[in-house]
Amino acid sequence: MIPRRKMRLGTLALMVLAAVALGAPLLANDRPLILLRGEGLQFPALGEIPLLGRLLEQPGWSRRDWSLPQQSERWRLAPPIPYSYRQVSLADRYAPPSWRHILGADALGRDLAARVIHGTTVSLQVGLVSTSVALAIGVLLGALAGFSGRAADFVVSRGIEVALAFPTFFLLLAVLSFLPPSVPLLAVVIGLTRWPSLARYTRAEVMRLARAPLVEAARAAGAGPARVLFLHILPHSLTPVLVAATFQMAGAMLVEAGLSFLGFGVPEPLPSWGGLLSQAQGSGRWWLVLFPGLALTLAITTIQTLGDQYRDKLDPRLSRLQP
Amino acid sequence: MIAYLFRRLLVAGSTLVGITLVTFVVLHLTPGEPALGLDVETRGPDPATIQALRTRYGLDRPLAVQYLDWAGRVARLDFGRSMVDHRPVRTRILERLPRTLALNLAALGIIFTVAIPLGALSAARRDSAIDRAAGFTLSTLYALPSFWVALLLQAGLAVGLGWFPLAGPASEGAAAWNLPARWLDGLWHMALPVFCLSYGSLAFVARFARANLLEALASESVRSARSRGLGPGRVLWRHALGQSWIPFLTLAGLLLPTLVSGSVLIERIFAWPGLGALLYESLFTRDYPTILGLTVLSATLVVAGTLITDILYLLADPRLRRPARAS
Repeated sequence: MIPRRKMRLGTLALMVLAAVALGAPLLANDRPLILLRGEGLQFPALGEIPLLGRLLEQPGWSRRDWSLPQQSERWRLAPPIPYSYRQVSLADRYAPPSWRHILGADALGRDLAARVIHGTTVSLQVGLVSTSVALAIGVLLGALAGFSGRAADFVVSRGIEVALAFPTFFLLLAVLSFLPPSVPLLAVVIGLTRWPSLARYTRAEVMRLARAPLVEAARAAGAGPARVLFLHILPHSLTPVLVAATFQMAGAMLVEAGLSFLGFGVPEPLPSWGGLLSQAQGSGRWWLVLFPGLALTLAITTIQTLGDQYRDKLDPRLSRLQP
Repeated sequence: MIAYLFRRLLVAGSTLVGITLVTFVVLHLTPGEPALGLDVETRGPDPATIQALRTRYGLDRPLAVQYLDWAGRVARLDFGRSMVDHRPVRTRILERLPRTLALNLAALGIIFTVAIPLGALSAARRDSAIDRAAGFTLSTLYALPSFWVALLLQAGLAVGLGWFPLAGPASEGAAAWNLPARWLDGLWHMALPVFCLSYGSLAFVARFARANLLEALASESVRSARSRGLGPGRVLWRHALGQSWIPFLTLAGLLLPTLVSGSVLIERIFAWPGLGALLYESLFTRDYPTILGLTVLSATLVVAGTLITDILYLLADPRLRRPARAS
């Protein structure tokens, strides 16, 4: 078993990661957090938060140059990193880490800290969306294979075998080079390649549970096959699948970084850790290489550690036997 | 045994058909049509030219016909001609294949020669300081994305200290050197890329070795070997490792595809003129025949890897040879 303290640390790290991803516009933004003007208090940075921001965004905000003092401005509270991820400043080209740019600046003078922070949002978005897509396909196919008889099982199982043998990174590159660059599309396409192992887990679990007494009881009580599958079997078989999904998510984030590194992932000027690393190559500036990679490593380790912990909780024996 | 072999062959064959079919259909359904990418100069809106190109490359026929035609030619190892330099795709791939194979086989060799003894040591000294240190170091390495490490090593060891070459497969003017010098030069250029390809899987294989050996060390045969008075070293290497080497075969078969796809990134960073680099160039020039050929090749590698593993399994595990199949 994992000591309790380490468990809390893992959960805490995940919460920090999620907070950074959700609150990126509040952490690094050229818009002030709070602006006191003649007509009262305003919260321009909040306007960039997804969903919530739509309600708060006021006309003209998105086009305004926030680095200049606003009309009748009395007081402003800037975010900890007072730059947005796309704010170009040629005077700061390749600025090394300093109090002005705590992680330095890139070839266009964009603040690296802001770009790394906003990269968290992009990376987690891709991870979550692609894992959801993979889960939807994997659970559905796995349930189909495990529940609906030999013919369907044979077809789906062969399908899983084919998909597992797929050189997915090659195919992803090939497909993405023909698709218009966009984050949602990227996430879905990555998700389409990551369902096979999830389908395999679901199939095994569903098959195991289909013989369980609780299912027999449900059948005896007159439940139809659909009811048995969706209400009695699937809810109980999802836990190991969800654990596997955390590893899939870490893998998807790594794939996104790799694709963006090669230039087929997240489109500029949106920052992605892989994209940042690709811009760092050949620049000869250590901070551009070090920090985005560090962020990627930490995020992936966090999610993997969490997956490990859930797996240990589920079955302490597994962690010793399975690599 | 024959039935088992036949079944595996059937699965391998259908896997290949499945992979080529999906790749072909996906590539042809994605927007951005092959004929448009044929020539940068003819990219302009000249419908007649585009139509002519479509007819010439058979792109105006139904998808199923195109696939069957293409698959039939691929079965005869004819991948068509590149749309970029009009040379046969097969020649272009064969030129690059040795370089990628060299990288990946070297990586595979290093993974197993380092990871298995490490795993064995960890298993023999279970829960000791060595075991913990090895476990910690390897899992840390495992978490480091290879292309990041590649960039760091390139910046530190190649640019900073100058111990290793920055990129490329050979030094300038190396072609004129004698054979040993060229070999050494090649090895020197391979060092960083091979390291980047191999360190990530070390953790995986070492943990696998450790778990398998722990299981083997607890088995009856090892206990009886011990009771016969054999020393710990002999028990570990001959009896425990001897009975657990079969799973490693499967692992090698599984690792190869990940290595090959991982080498796209590493080859790009170290300007290594292998298949990954060829794929990357073909993507930018939208060279359909080459892209398709490379995907088929990597799929074949994967399938062949699994198939060879299966056959070796058959030879190694006598239980599978019985007519009543065990699987």
